[in-house]
Amino acid sequence: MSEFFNVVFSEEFLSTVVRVLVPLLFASMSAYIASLAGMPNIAVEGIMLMSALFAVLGSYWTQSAWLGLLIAIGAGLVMACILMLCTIKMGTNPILVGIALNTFSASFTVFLLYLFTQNKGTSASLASIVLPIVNIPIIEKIPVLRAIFSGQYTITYICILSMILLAVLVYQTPLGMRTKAAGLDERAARTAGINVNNVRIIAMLLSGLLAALGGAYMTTGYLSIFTKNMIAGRGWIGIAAQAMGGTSMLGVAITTFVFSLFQAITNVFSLYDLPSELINIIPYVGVLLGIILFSVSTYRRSKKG
Amino acid sequence: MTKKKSFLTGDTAFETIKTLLAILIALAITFCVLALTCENPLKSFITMLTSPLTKMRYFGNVLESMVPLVFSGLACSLLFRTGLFNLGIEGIYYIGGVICSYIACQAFGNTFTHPLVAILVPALIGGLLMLIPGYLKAKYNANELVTSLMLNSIYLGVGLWFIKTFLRATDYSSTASPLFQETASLPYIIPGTRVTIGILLAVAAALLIYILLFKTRLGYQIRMTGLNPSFARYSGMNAMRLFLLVHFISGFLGGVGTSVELLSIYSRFSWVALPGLGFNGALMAMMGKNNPIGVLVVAFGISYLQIGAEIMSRSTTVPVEVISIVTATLVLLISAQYFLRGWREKKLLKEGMLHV
Repeated sequence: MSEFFNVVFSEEFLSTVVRVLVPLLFASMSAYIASLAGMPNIAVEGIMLMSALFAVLGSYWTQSAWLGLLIAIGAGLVMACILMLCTIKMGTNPILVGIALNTFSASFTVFLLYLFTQNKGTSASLASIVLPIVNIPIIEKIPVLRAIFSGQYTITYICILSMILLAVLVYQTPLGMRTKAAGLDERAARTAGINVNNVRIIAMLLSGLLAALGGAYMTTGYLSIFTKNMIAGRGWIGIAAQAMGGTSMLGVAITTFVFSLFQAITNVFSLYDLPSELINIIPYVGVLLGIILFSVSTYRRSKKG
Repeated sequence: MTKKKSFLTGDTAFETIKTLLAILIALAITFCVLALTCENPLKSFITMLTSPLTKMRYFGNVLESMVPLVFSGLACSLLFRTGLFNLGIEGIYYIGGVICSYIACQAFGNTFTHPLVAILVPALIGGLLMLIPGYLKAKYNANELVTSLMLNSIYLGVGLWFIKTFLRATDYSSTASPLFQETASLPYIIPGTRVTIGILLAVAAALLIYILLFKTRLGYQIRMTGLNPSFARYSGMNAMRLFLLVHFISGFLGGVGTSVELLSIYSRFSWVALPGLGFNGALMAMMGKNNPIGVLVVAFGISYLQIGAEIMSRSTTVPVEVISIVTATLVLLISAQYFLRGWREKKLLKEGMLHV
C-alpha cells in the first residue's frame, strides 16, 4: 500500500494525470460550448473517434503530422456540420442525431481502417507520423512544474492555449454573452436581436474543433496508432463532466480533473497483478458515482428551496 | 369544399414517400461509395441487393440476424417513446449473455426447461439491472444517457472478468466459455438454416409490445408521457412507477434478446467486447419510428442489407461495415422532421388554391 502512495505522490503520476486529462478536457469543453449555446452535442465520442482515425490517415497520406492534424480537424468539423444540419435545418432531435452519429463512427472508422490497411483492428501497418514531444527550457529544470508543463505532447500545449482562448471567448466577448443568452432562453435572445442560429453554428463548429483535437491527441502522441473503438467512452465522460459542471467553465474543468484522477489511478493499478478487466472499469464507476452524488444533492437542494 | 385529400400529401402517404425517398438516397450514397472503393461497383451493388434471395441458407441468415435486433429495437423504442434516452440495452446484452451462458453450460433439465431457465433468468436480471438507471432518473433526474453508458462499460468489465475467472474454456485458445450443453440450444424450425423458434419469439414480442403500447392503459400513459412530460405530473399519474415499469420491461426484452441470440447461433460465449446489438437496437427504434411493427420491418430490412453486404464483401475489398452508411443516412433522414416538408407545404398550398 505504501508503495502505491509512493507512486501516486510522484512526479510521474502528475505527468500521467496531465496525459489522461487532455482528451477528457477537450471532450468536456466540446460538450460545454455546445450546451452553452443550447444545442447539446452528444456526438463528442463519435467526432473524437473519427478525428483520431483521420489524424493517422492524414499524416500517412501527407507524411506530415501537422497536415494530418489539419485533416483530423476537418473530419471533426464535417461531423459537427452534419449534426448542425440535422438539428437546425432538418429539425431532428439532437440526441437522436448524436446517437446515430456515434454508432455510425464506430463502424465507419472500421470500414475506412479496413479499406486502407486490410485490418479491422488497428492501423499498425500504416507508417503514420506523431507530433513531437515538447520540452520547455527553464521549466524542465523546476521540480513538480516540469512534470506538468514540460515533456508533454504537442497537443497538450494546444489544449492549454485553447482553454485560455475559450475562457476569454465565453467570459470576455460579446459572442460569449450571446452564446450564453441563446442557451439560457432562445426566445428572449431572439427578441434581443441575437441571431440564435448563427451563434449556435459557431458554437457547434467550436465544439467539433475541440472534440477533433481531443481525438487527434489520442493518435498523434498518447498512442501512435489507431485501434478500433479507442476513445473508449472518453467523450461520454466529458459529457458527464459537462452535465455536472453546468454553465461554469471552471466547474466543468474541475469535474474533468477529478475524472482524470480515476483514469490515472487505473494506469497505476494496471502495473500490479490485479484482474485488468475490473481495474479498467474504475473510471466508469467513478463517473457513475459522481453523477449519482451530483443528482442526489441537486435533488435535495431543490426539495429544500 | 371537398374533403378528398391528394394521395401524395396525406399523412400516411407522405410518410411513405419520405421513407421510400430516404431508402433511395441511402442506396444511392452506398452505390457512390462502392464506385469509389471497388472495381466492379454495379455487380457488387446488385450482389448486395439480391444475394440473400438466391439461397435458402442466405435468407435464413437474414432471419437469424434480425432476431436480436428486434428485441433490442423493441426495448429501445419503449424507452424512447417514454422520452427516455437510455442506451443501457447494450450492457444488458453483454451481462445477460454472460448469465445465459453460465446457465447454458450447466447440466440440468431437458430440452424445454433448460432453455426456458436460460432465457428467463437473464431476462429477469436484465430487467432488474435496468432499474438502476431507471430509478436514478425517476427519483433524482440523473442523466440516463450518461449513467446507462457508464453501466455498459462496467457490465463489460465485470462480465469479462466473470468469464475469465469462473467460466473459461481450458481447451480454447481465446477467451470464451466452454461449449453450451446440448439441451440448452433452441430448436430449429427451417431445415437447412439456423433459424430457431427465436424468430417466432421475436415476432410474438413485437405483437405483445404493440398491444401494450396501443391497447392498454400503461401504453397510453407511455405514449402521453413521451409526447408531453408534464402530462404525467398533472394528470396525477405515478411517474415513478411508469419509469420503473418501462425500464424493467425493456431490460427484460434485452435479456430475452441476448439469450435467444446465444442459444440460437452460438455454441459458446466468446464476446470480448460489447456486441453492438443494443446500440443497433436504438437505430432500429429510430428508423421504425418507435413503433413495434416498424421495428420488425426495419430489423428485417437492415438484416437483409447486412447479409447482402457480407456476401458481397467476400468477393470484393469492401468490408461489411459499408452498411453503416446506409443505416446512418436512413436514421438521419427518417427522423428529420423537416425533410421534404417544404415540398409538402407547397403541394398542399397548390391544392388549397384549387379548391378555393
